[in-house]
Amino acid sequence: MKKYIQFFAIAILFTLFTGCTESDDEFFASKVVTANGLIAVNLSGNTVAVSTAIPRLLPQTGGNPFDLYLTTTSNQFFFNYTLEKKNANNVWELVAPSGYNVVTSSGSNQFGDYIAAICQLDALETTYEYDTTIAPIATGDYRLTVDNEVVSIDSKNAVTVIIKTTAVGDTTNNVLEFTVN
Amino acid sequence: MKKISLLFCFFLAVGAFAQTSSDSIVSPIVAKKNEIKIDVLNLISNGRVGISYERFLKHDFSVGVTGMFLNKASKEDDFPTDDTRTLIDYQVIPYVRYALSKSAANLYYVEAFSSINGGQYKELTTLNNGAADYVVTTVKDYNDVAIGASIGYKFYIKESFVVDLTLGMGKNLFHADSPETLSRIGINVGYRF
Repeated sequence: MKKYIQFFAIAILFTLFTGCTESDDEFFASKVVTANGLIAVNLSGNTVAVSTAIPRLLPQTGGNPFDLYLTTTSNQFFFNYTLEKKNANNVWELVAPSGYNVVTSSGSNQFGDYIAAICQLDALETTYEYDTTIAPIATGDYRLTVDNEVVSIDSKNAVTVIIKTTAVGDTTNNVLEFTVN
Repeated sequence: MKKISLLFCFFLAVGAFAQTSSDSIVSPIVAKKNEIKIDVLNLISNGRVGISYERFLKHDFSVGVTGMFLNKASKEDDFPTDDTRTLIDYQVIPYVRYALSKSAANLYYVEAFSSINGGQYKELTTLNNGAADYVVTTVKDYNDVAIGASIGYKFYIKESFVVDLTLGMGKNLFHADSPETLSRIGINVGYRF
């Protein structure tokens, strides 16, 4: 009886390690490219405009253009940015979506701690576009920080593209600080 | 000379008796030199058919070969889009085993093996359509040879039916894109004859 108990204990251990019988090296179908200055951030009064116009045929330094759509088969790319407000203790706090007004003319947004900016491929399938203005409601000091990656969404059975980029316009190192009076 | 002949005969008789005594306590399992097994663990969990043949050359030494083949169409179908880099289609595994236990019915062993294995791997390929570059995932074939070692435990039921657990690891030697390591884990059940 003891022998069988030992056997079943060993069998359970083997079963737990079943996954090891398969090759466990992972494959990430992703391609990283670099294209600086794809995100524009501009301040006008109390309103910040965040926009992109990413060409589907992305120019590459010293090489052929890179076809984002053919690689990803995706109509959308996204990047994240945050809006923070300095509190009474001079500490930056994330601003809830109820704390600002948004007007979107191209693409769309998903709101959470981050604002996920979704760039939409236009009807001619030539440009991934996003254009949104954000106007904080309350007065105070604000900071808008833009991530330096634009990533394809839902690249089913295809390759995910990550575009390393920078923000241009009124930002310094992808950060814009401004005051709403 | 006669005395020497008698002494020789005496020791010969003692040796023969000793041999007879020894044989009389040896398990009947030892007399059976062949064993066939099927790997139930890989069959159930991974859709792989693994069949082994083992030949017992001495009480504590045996050689064998395992053939293992992928028999799950869904794995083949999913491979181009899943997140695994390689898929092993087949393995042919010759091995030698040395029993660490004296008992023939219930024993631990160590094993050295080689694995001739082949399958598929994925890589990103840049193509050009005349206007721009684009990247696709391509699937290619590989064949390689690995060497490795295992430990195991086996026991016999009714001196013929065997349950054999093996745990080991091997390393592929030649192809840069084959799986770097191969595990050898199995629960085999079989028959010795």
